Amino acid sequence: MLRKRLVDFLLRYGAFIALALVLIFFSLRSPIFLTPRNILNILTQVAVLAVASFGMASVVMGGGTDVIAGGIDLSIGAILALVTAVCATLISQGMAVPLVLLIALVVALIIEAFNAVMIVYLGLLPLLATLAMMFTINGLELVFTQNMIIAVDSPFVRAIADGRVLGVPVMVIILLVVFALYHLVLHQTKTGMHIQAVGGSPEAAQTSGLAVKFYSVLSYLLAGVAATVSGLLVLARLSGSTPGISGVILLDIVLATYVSATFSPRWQVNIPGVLLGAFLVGVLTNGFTLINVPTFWVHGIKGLLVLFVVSATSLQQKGASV
Amino acid sequence: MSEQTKNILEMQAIVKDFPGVRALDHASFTVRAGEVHGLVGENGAGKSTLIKILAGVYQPDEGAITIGEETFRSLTPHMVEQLGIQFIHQERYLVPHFTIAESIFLGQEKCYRGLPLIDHRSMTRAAEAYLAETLGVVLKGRTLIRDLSVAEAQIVQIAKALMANPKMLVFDEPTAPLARREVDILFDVIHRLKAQGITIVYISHYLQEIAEICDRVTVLRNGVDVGTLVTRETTTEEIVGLMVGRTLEEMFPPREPQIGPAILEIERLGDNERFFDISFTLHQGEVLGITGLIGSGREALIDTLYGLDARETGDIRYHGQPFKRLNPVRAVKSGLALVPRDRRKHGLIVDFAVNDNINLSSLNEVARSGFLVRKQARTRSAEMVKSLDIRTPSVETIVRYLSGGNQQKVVVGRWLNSEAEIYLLDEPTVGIDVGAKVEIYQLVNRLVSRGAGVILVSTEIPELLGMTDRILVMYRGRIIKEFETRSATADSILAWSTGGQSTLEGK
Repeated sequence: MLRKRLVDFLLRYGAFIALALVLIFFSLRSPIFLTPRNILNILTQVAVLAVASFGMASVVMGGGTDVIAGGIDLSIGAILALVTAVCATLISQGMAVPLVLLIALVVALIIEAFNAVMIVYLGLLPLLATLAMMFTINGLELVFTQNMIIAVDSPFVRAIADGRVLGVPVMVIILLVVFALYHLVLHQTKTGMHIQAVGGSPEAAQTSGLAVKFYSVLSYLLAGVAATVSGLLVLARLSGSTPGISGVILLDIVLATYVSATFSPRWQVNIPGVLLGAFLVGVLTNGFTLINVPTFWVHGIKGLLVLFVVSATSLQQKGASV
Repeated sequence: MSEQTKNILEMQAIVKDFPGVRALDHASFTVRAGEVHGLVGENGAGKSTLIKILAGVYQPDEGAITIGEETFRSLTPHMVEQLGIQFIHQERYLVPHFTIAESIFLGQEKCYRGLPLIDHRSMTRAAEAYLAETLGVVLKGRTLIRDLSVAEAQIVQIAKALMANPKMLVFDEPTAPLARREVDILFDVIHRLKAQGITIVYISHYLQEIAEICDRVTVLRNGVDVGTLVTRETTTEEIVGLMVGRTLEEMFPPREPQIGPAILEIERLGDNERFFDISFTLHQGEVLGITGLIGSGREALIDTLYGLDARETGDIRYHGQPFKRLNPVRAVKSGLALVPRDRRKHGLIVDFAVNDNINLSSLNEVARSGFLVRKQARTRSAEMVKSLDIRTPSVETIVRYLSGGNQQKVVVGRWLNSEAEIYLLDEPTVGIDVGAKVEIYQLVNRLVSRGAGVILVSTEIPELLGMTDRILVMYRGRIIKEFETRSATADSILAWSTGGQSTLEGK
């Protein structure tokens, strides 16, 4: 009995404990780690990742956490990179910023709509459909940017990159606003509940009279919105667009999204957990840099974490069938 | 029988054809308002097709459906729901990671006034109140579905169906995964629902429960209704007779058992979890039946006999030789054969051809120095196809496209090829039409006439009575009764399957 309670406790709080231990470890090794300034620094660094992961989480919640057959969007990194490229190009050509953002949003939504059609109406596995889309969009981006860096010098972009409100960087504010929106929609509204139902059991959703296809498509469109905001944040950080963004970020997005389940008592991918997961990724990167560990190690550890988290979720799924 | 009792449902002369088979042949089904009406029939009799037509999943080729005052040629799921009929399926259509409250209110979540935000707290309280008032069940609204027992999840499913204020509930095999105590709770719920004026259709093959809970019962056989009886005025024997249609002598090929020495001895076998202290002996030329409800441990027992699951205690002796550790490889080498209960998952490689599957366990016979001799393999399988009358366009046909009965024959054929001496047949005729069943029974007789011993696990009483020499009844992990088949009756087998109490009075 005691053993079971211990196991339950570990399963529920293990991830929080791990995060706390990591924070303690780094703060012991480096005195400036746990300062407000550094924390804000980390949040700024992971804003891009967190926002993109909210989008990925929407898709996973709407399609099920089975990594093979469930909802996933491998193209989200490519889409946000394309958004960055499109914005950089159009802004540097002098187009008005609101119009540029609108165009970027439409582009992202059209691509995600394509994903949704392939998956929902043609019945393709999300893993394969979005993988194919990822390659397509990567190619599209190369054609668009001719594999060149596009620098942008715009007051709007600079405001996002450097601006602060009451001492908090604008990027962090944008992150928190997007977080609040996605949390509200996915966890507190009927729509969010329905998206989760469709992901948890399409049959149950169907027999409850829910429009299963509609909610699936909606989850992909939510990813498109997140990709757009994330692309904009990248634009701000880099003051332009660079080739090669999408590949690097995808692993981090997958990690942050799936690790969110470990922070939830229901072991389900969830928005607050994603924020914590993104923060964890940022902590690892930032922390290792502060203590002068080469980034190679960070990649390795992230890879192991993804493996661990995905296995844990998969094992948990096996025991969870009703 | 008053004229005033109206019919809430009338399915008239329903015909439904599928490629190659007529599933329903002018079947009719009439339910009176307010009654609990059972629907029984063997596998393949058409129960599930009839109910799917009622649910709007299939459309009938002929016939009409009258619900209340309105008559329809065909239905859709949406219409059926609007007409006040809800289904409690065998599968639990619930989201595992939702709470009870979220599941019950899915689609009609309670929100704060004015805002589209869900009020979880009031929803939880409402769910708990609803469960208590309508079903008399106390459960915490915040419990996750996956943490519920099968019976509790079923209660949640029923509560959800009731939210739509249905006039009729259709239960499809509700008690298969339940323990006796849980069945009692379900029956209490059904009585409550009946008292509230809800009509119940109860599909089950546990005839004892039909007798307990139903007012009337309709029997389907070969796609047509062959009788509607008042349960109080009939016997299990009569119902079984209607289900099977022929007398037992006609249904099952004649047997002249020649029982030889013991070939398998099981002593005090147990896995200390699902079955305990099992001892029995199987003889050459004998068909030994094993039966029991779900939860009786019979499934675990078979898996252990074949070496799929490890045992904790007990001895297995084959031809007098003990086995310390048994796994399927050693089992097959020693002459055991398993025809598993889920043939698509465990019995066949569905994407392989008939030829490949039949030769699978005896590849040594069709190989020379490790290389397959295709011609020889094909000849062997052609012979087997002929001898078992497997209906397939050719031996190269992919098994997936064969009917259930023919697929099962392929599985049996594979083992006939391997010349096993002990056959473990786990529910071998589930989902197979009556004609194919008879052929499988003939196969079993051929096996035992060659001197093999057969263990037949089944929950179909007619099958047990017609095919076995002895029957072991399992209950809660132990053998509770052993019968000589010639002195067993349907009633007694049923009674012992549920623990030994008979609830059929005066029969």
